Formats: sequence, C-alpha cells, structure tokens
Amino acid sequence: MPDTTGVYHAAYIAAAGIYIAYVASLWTRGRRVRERMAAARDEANRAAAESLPHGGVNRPVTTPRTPE
Amino acid sequence: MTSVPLSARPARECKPLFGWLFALAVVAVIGVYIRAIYFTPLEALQGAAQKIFYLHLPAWLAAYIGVGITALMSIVYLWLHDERADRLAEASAEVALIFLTVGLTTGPLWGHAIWGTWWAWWDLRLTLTLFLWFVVAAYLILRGAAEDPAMRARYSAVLGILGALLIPFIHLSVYFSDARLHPMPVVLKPSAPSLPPEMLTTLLLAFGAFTLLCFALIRARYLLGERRDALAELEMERDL
Repeated sequence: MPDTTGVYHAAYIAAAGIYIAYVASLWTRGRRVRERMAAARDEANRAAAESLPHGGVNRPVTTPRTPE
Repeated sequence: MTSVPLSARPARECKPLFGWLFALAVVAVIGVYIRAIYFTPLEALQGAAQKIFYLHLPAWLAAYIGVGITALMSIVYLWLHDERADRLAEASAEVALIFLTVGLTTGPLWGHAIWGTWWAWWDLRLTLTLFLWFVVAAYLILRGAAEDPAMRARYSAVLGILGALLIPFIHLSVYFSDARLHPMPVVLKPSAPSLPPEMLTTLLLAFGAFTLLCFALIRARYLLGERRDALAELEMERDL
C-alpha cells in the first residue's frame, strides 16, 4: 500500500480552509452591510427630524387660550 | 413611495445569517471528518488518499444541488419576475462555486497520488467540471457588472440555466470515452453501490452533512442578499 498520508491531510485541510474562508467572508460582508444600514437609518432619521419645524425638538407648546 | 418612518419598518435585514441550520451542518461536517479519519478503514490499493473520496464526491453533489437550484430559480424568475427567485439563484450560484472549488482542489490532489498526474485535458470529466466552474464564475461576474437590476436578473438567469445543462454531460462523460482517468461510477449508478458497508455508511453520512452545509450556506447568502437589497433601497430613499 503506498504512503499517501500527506496528500490526504493536504486535501482535508484545503477543503476545511475553503469552507472556513467562505463563512468568514459571509460574516464580514453581513457585518459591513449591517453597519452601513445602521448609519443610513440614523442619517435618514436625523434628516427627517431636521425637516420638522425647530428641528423636531423644543417645539413651543401652544396652550388653548382661556375665555375671558 | 410610502411614507412609513424608517424606524417603524420591519427589521427583515436583522435576521442572523447563521442560525440553527448552520450550527447543525457544522456539527454534522465535524462528525463526518471524525468518522472518515478515525473510524473508516483504509482502502487496500490507494491507502490514505482514498479517504479524499468522502470530501470530493459530496462536494460535487452539493455543487450540483447549488447549480440546480440556480437553474430552477432562474426559470422561476424568467416566468414570474419575482426578485426573491433571482436572489435565491444568486445565493445558490455563489455557494455552488465554493463546492466546485473544493472539488477542483481535492480532485487533483487525489489524482496526483493515484494517477500520477494533477490534470489531464483529455479526461472529459475533468475538463467539463472546469468549464462548469468558469460558467458559474461568469454568472457571478456578470451579476457584478450589470447595473440595471432587471437586466442583470434576466441575463444571468439565461446563463444559470445553461450552466445546469452541463451536469448530465459531466456525470455521463465516463460513458462517452475510453480515454479517461475517472473510473466508472461506484455509487451513483443504476445497480447497487460497489463499496464495503463501512465506507458506504461514511459516504452517505458525508452526502447528508455536506448537503446540509450547502443549504445552510445558501440560506445565509440569501439573507445577506436580502440585507444588501434593503440597504440599497434605504440609501436610494435617503439620497432622494
């Protein structure tokens, strides 16, 4: 029987390496998209708030005038 | 365009990419590695290199599943114009490319040990599998190059269907020519598999584990695509 242990180990390590690298790539891409999404959402919410009178904050409270 | 506030929208993009299915697949693949390495006997003529079989063949099966789903979803997209079908086709193609790469990496290593050569262009199966790798890679490059989503989906769907047409030729290629390195099928053939029971059990477990891994990766890649599309929508709305 020929000694082919080296090749067998190389194949098992190479296959595991390819799978692990792909999972790491998916994870990294997922995290990057999530961060960009959070930034875009913050920016959109800030823009929406700024478009309101007084920037959406410290709005003057209007009290109903009491009849004299 | 609807005026639903961004903060009030359902957070579909927040679903985790790797769920219980992925965890189950990882456990199954680790189990197959342990069984193949420690609990499966050595083949008398080839020695340890024959154990590459338990990674090589399931990788091809998973690749065929990926290419098959790509073709099926491409047909569904061309018929119904549903963007979810296009997204699933893209996810399956990318995962198929990973399994094809594993097959094309482990194969020459095994071939060098047993046949005495890394590659032979006159072996139809080797050449056709490399051609399939190029078709799937071209599918993904085409998707990256086309900007218009409808055009991208339509053109890549045609390529996705054409790629799957290679699979029967690859499987049957050993019957077409006598000048070949690949043996006749020992498992996927009309008669009973010609393998000892311990080896057949390991192989069937490997088929199950890598098929599970294939589906788990396709799911993760699909969710990533969904998240990416949601981001594109959000950025487009922000820039308006």
